[in-house]
Amino acid sequence: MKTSWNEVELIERYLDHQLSNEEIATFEDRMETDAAFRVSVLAQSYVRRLVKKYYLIQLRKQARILHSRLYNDPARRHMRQAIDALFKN
Amino acid sequence: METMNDIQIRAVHLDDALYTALYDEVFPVIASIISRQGGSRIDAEDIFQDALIALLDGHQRTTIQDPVRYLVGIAKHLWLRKARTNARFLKLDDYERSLTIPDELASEAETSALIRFLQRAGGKCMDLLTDFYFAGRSIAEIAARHGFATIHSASVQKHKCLVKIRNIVKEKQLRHEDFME
Repeated sequence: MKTSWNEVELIERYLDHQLSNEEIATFEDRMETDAAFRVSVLAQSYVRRLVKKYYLIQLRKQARILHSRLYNDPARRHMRQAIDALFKN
Repeated sequence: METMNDIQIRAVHLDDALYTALYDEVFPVIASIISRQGGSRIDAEDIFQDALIALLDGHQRTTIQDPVRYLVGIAKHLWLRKARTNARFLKLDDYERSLTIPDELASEAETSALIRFLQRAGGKCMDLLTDFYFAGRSIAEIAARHGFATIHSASVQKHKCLVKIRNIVKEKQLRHEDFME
């Protein structure tokens, strides 16, 4: 079944705190009475947490690559020597 | 050349110029602190990178006025957490004491099976959703980065990706407490 664009976007607006107080009340009433809708809201919220975690993992990978490139850059040999000297003892 | 002011403006992105500027200006400071504390160069690199991720993450919620000071402060907190009882005396000023390490600083070791599955089954969608939610990019930038001809096409694909990942989450029958966190 095609997932309703409107429903997905409504949940997005709820998660982004973009609904009015009246809309929030209607939304949360529906969550109480419509189990499938409630599961969709919780799953969509969970997707954001997963994407956040994924984002942080990607940032870490990217940082490691950039760090290695700079540390091993021949043009930055003096900086590398200064850093290495800090950890000699 | 990248300036610290540029970093304040663009702090949600991590690119070569930003990383290079911070590497040149801040990494030696953090490396010096960690070496005096008896840590290794690898410790210093890990902590510098964790602090940088905290900076980028924190900048989404509020503008961090002094990124350099923030990085050094977070690095000290990270070292104190890592070294625990082995930490030597490490002075924190009032600003540094006011900082807290973001809870969501994940390590690759903590990567869940679900994240690994999503990387394989929906990596492109995860990249697209990351840009929409967390990378601080405009929809026009997102459309260009992901090869969409129009902003509308990017929005449609975001919807499809969101539904796809949401359905995977549902199908994986996540534990109730995962949803409720």
